[in-house]
Amino acid sequence: MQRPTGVQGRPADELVQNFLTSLRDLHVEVHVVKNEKEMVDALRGLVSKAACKSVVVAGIPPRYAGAVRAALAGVKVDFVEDLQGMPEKEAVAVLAAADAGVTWAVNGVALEGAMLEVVYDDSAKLASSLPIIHVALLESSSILRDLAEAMPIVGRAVRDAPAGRKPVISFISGPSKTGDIEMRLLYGVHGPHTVHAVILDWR
Amino acid sequence: MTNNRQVLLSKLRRSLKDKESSEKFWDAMTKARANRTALLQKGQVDMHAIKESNKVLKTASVANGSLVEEFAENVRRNGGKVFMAKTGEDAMRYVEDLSKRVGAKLIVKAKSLTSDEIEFTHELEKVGIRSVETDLGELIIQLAGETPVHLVMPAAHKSVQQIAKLVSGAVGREVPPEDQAILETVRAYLRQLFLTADIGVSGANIGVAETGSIVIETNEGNGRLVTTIPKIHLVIIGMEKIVSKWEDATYLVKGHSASATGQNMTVYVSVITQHGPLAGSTAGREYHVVILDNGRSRMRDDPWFSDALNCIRCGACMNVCPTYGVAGGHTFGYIYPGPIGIPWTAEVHGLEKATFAHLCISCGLCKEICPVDINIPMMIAKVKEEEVSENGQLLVNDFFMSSEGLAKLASATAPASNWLLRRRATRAVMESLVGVDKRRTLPSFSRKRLRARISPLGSGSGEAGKVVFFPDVYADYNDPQLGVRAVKILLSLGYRVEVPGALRWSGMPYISYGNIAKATAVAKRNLETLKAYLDQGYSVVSTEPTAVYMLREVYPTLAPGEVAERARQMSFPFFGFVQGRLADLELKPAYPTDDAVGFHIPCHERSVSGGRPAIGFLSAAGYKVQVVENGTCCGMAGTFGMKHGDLGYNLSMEVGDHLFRLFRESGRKLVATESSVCSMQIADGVGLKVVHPLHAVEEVAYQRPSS
Repeated sequence: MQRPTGVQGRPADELVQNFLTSLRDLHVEVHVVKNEKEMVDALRGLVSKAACKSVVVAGIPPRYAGAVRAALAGVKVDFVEDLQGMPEKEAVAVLAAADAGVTWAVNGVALEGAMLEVVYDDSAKLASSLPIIHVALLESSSILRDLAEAMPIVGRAVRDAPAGRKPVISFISGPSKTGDIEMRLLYGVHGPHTVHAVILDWR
Repeated sequence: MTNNRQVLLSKLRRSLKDKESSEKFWDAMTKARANRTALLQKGQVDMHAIKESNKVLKTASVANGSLVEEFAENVRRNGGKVFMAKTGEDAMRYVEDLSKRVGAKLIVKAKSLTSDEIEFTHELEKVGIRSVETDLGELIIQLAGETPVHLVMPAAHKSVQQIAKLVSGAVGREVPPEDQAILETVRAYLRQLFLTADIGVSGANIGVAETGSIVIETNEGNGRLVTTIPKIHLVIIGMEKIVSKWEDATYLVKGHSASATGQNMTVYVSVITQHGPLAGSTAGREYHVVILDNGRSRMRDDPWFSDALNCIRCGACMNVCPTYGVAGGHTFGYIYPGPIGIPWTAEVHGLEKATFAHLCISCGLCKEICPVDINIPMMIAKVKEEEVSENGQLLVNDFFMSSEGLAKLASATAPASNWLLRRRATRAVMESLVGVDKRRTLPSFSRKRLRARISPLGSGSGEAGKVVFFPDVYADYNDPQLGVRAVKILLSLGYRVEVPGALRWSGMPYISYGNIAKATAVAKRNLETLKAYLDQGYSVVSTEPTAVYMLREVYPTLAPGEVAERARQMSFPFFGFVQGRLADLELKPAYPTDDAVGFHIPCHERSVSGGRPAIGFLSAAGYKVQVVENGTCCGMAGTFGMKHGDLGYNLSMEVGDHLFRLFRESGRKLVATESSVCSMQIADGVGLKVVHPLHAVEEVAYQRPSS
């Protein structure tokens, strides 16, 4: 898929800026980090600022898993991949008790300010659904222009997975919100009250 | 009068009396429109493209019966179970059997209008299974024991105090009437239910046949929990929601969120193809998809109602509907509320439940705002016709459907008719015998009609082109001088102008009051008259927005064919037609003022030109123009506001009141609008001078060239 790119195949600044603007409009707290150290600092900072005691982590690619672990040193951390085989109720209890969920987004979508989550186990989806704080990590190089560009990718992901092992895919564009009380905008009715996007801007 | 009509009237009376709820609800609709407008103004959403693409896509998908089978086959391929439910009862029997088999005691539900359609929660309650709505709005409605007042904002009519009380009842302790306290209480209350429920039920905004996937769009995130934690995920999807390919889903998602809430996308757009494992375990995790027919295949095969299946449940038609905004969804609705609720109710729940069709005043705004360009007004006219053929027509509707003949009579007997119509005694009799409200100021009639007045002017040179001027009733019988002014401008610009004697009125009241046979007859007659002119390259021009609206939006459906299509393309509102030639006219204001003129956009002009050419005309005459509007209708709606009582004048003025307030606040002294009936409404409601833009300028001089 063709997409506007800047120097050395990096995403065009404009695309990243549009994504950031959309996210901020949607009440997402944005952190652009330029290297692994900044990423660790950002993650550690927001977890400690929110006084999180326990965090669940899902879907982080191996190349970043070490840094995430380092950033979360000192708090109770559960990687959902390690919950495999645990009785369902217990796994859900761990996820429900967490103060924050740190998850991976495979793509950003600039115009709509959405982050694309692809999971193959519902525990990973719950990591971004149950805790009151959701932190999504994604690479700036993954940012797509708009939904029209993203939808075929979704289609491919579903089509290409073997029968009976299809992913659950979610576009997430901000915290859980409702307007059902006199049309006032309120956050955190069922899912996260706060969503952070940590954008890894060095690959 | 039938019982259903009596129930409708008493509900309407209650709605009109309950000013506080009505006001709250109107404000909610105003805000919903503003949210949509704000998004569109950002310029990121091409609503025109969305409409066109969705219309083609949905129409093709709905017509393609094989998509349902393809979808079902792919669900099965991924391990899901599919049940094709012919009726709501069939669907509920399946759900009950499933619940019994797995011993389910608690069901958590995401918002699903399709499940509301089959009264899911109610039916399960009857067999002792607890089903809890988890969307906040739906939960409020469930606790109140009501039906949703709006598709997207089910509890838009409830105050924070009422909500706090309902939530207090649910949790068994006092919750203060504060947003945050309610929110936190609901979060904690529902969280326990999410964690312990046996079955999670969701609807689906879209089904994608090629992979057997569903797309769910939510903002609250309850849908993510409902579809994940319980062992069983049950989907209820209407068969009309299924499209062929993934790429098809883009514009549906965009159109839905933009129209529903003014969002680029809802917070969560989830794609689900099976019930995935949880912590690696698939034991007992089942995925069931109930595909609901419940009248849909019959609708698909019905040329009048198949269009309703294109609905994506965004609720935009509700946000813009003027009488729904006043009456609310419990009066203007059964289970499905609002404009699109009329055909859906008639087809799914029965004609006798769709009596609220008579609350529709045929402004046409629902079609204009619809992101799938559904011809809702035409389906409503059909429902009205069916209801009337079952239960009889109201005398007053018959009276107004004879407007053309009555105008002919009143014109032929003027000025005596005018004298008579001004007498209070006459009006009292008209009110009690016919049902024409005596409070309404009626227009007077002119003995000398338009054709007689313009015949000394000749037909014009025709060097600029040829025009049929379509006066409709008002510019012929009531204010022919308006027609004269229009014709003089056209002549002076070099057009040849004809007003064919065989041309009849546009016939809008036939649509408003559900006489499609007569509407079709008048459409055919007019098209037949116009054909000879269209063949010679004439354009059709009218000063009456409703006439152009009929030619463009209604005749092609009533009398489809090549002539109607050409007439649609060649019909223009007067100001739209001359807008490129204003520099050739010496326009002088008839009411010179430094003050801005207040401008009202008639509903039927919105889809035609949005009123911009008329504003350009006034500006060219040196006026400053201020558009005063709330995005919906003035409430007059042709002859509707002339009818006596709640289903007429009272409802009309209640809708109008919101606009009247804006006009009063604007401080404007002179108002201009193109529609003859909007003029009456605003003049009656605000007491300001209201003129047609053509009357706001001095008459353009035109002398017949001497031969």
